[in-house]
Amino acid sequence: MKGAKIHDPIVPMPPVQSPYGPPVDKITMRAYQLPGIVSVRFTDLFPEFPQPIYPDRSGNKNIKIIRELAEDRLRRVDMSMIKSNDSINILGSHHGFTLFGDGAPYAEMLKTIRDIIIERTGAKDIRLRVGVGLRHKEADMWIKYFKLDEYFGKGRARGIAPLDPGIPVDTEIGTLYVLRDAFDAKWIVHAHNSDVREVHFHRHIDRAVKPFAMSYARLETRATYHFNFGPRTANIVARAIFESPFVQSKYTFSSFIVPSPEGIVTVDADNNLYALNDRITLHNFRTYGKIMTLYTKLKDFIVVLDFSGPIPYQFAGGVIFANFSSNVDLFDLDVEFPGYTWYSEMFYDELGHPMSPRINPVHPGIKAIVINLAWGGYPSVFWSQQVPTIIVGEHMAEVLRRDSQNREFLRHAVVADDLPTAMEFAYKFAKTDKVIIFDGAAGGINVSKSLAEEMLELAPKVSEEVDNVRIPKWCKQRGMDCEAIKNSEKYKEWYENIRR
Amino acid sequence: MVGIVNEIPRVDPNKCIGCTICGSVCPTAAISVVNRKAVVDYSRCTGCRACFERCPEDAITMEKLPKPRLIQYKIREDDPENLKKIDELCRRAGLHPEQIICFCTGTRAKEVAQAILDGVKTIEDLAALVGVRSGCKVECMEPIQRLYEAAGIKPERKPFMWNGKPMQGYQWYWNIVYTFRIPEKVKVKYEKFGYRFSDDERVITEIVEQEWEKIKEAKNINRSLSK
Repeated sequence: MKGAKIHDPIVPMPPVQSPYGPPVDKITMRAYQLPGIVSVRFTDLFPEFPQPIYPDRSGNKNIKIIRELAEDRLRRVDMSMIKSNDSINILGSHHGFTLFGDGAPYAEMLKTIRDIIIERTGAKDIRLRVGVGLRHKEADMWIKYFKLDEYFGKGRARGIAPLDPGIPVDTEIGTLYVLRDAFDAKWIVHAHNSDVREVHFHRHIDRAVKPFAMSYARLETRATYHFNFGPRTANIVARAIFESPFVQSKYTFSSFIVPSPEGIVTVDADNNLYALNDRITLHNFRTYGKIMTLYTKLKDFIVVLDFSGPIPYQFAGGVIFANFSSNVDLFDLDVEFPGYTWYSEMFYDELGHPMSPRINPVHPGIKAIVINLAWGGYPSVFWSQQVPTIIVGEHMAEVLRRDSQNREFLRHAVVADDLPTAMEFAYKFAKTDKVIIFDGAAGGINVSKSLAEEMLELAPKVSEEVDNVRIPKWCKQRGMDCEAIKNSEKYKEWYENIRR
Repeated sequence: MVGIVNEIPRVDPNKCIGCTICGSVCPTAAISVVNRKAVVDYSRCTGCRACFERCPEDAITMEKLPKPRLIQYKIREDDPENLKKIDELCRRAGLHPEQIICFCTGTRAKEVAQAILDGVKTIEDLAALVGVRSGCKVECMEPIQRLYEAAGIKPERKPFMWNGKPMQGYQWYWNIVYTFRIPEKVKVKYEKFGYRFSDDERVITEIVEQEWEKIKEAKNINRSLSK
């Protein structure tokens, strides 16, 4: 122990071998092992946060509790529409496997959905279809990693990608294309994760429906979302697909793994996706809203990326680097263009300058980025263009050099031999000793002692500001009566259950 | 923009079953299937990895090129009439000519507009010549379609060859859903949930128009953004 509220660093999950990342045996040192790295815990930053169940505050990982909660929730949803000879596609996403770098809870939820459908309906033709982002093999990788192909049976579990065959769907906003194989069963189950994740795109308007325009959708639909609307309207594409007669004719219920920035807190399931959306929205405002507000107040530090995922999807305190670098109140719908989102990046000129003063800059506190471990498979040149970037080792440089989505990355970055050398250089030119590590650690955040102290000092005021000023505004902007949601029996039961 | 091709696919004929998925997803129609084996036309291949990533048999590996190949489509900057046409085409598509339309390669609207004006008729040829769709293969699809539509062209999907016969893949579907075109009643219906249709349309239009005005002033060209 380093002091009452300054703790030893948290050991993150080990690197995952992937076609998109470096050979894991080349990662000889993790950032939490650097001298001077400590951790700051959510119990000290925001003691009002609900207690996580996986891992719990002692660091224990009991997967049985995930199954018990999922069984309980799934036994309470209506499955009467499913007959014993019906086919069902459980629709998942790669995202669920990346929470805190540990996909076991999400994999357990997927298995439990299958088992409870069988138990309650007698149906046997249950398939798993897992969507991806822009790493078109990733879902199959996770399916094998968690042996879901064995669990669901031969040929019943497989990845689906935006390049796969599509089918047109009539929606209120026009015809959009979804993935044929996502919807090739009589019924679908929507199995997702509730963390805010790409809030720089969906802005937490109908967050729970987003995969209908992403994981389950064709490439044209995803491009429509990211190019043909705007920084506060894109998620209408997802809602329009979800509300289409075609999808509604197949939809049964949703099941979500629910994290807070600290760890997994519960499983939720409901036939009414919008009711589930209300619960997770309020929960996310009360938890992610606080750590993300705190992040925008930090000054002058070095970011170390050290996680098995692409650059924007690296986690610190449950928040992805894309959100962190956006540096605005992403929940506030008066904010037009975050520091990072494709609706902002598209308006940068050839010299790397925003084409309008409306475009907010990348978090000005980030003085350097050090990449110790990251995957390719997501266009990320923007960050190396905007922030001085050091890549650790040729093995990591080669990942980005060969990645078809990051061919220009190395034109804007330098390569250091090892992590200590990279940090030594970063400390010199960034002129700060403050460090935050994106390594997916659960329970807290690995940081330098100086940044831990800054965060601990800021947190109480942030908590008060979010509770009293920001949440009422965020709710009002979305037409949500948050007091009514908070006082509803279902939310109270749900939140009390979270705290058990 | 200069596209850099660092690696190319190699097909293992012992693993390839001739399923045609690689040909169906290849953005440049560079893959044909001959005697149940995939064959790559490297003169068209941009190393995008689509074939590698969707091959169900893991029969394709990506091999690093000893020397990167560059893809560059030049804009005729010295021809004011040409620049005016590029600007007008982008304007009709609701895009700023300097706007990035491919985040993987940094390709801008003006480069795709130039290629379309030069007569590049298919999206597969556009991908091979300009370098779009050579990264994620996903996000640039809509601005490309909007530019073709603005040029009055509905491109045909270029078939790939299967034992010498043309076969249709599913590289893309013609599909444009655009905020400026959705019914007003739909916008009104959803604005209460937080969607800011009118605000977003206004701010994006203002960015484009503001920049258009700057260019107009600098080049003495008369133009304005139309929806």
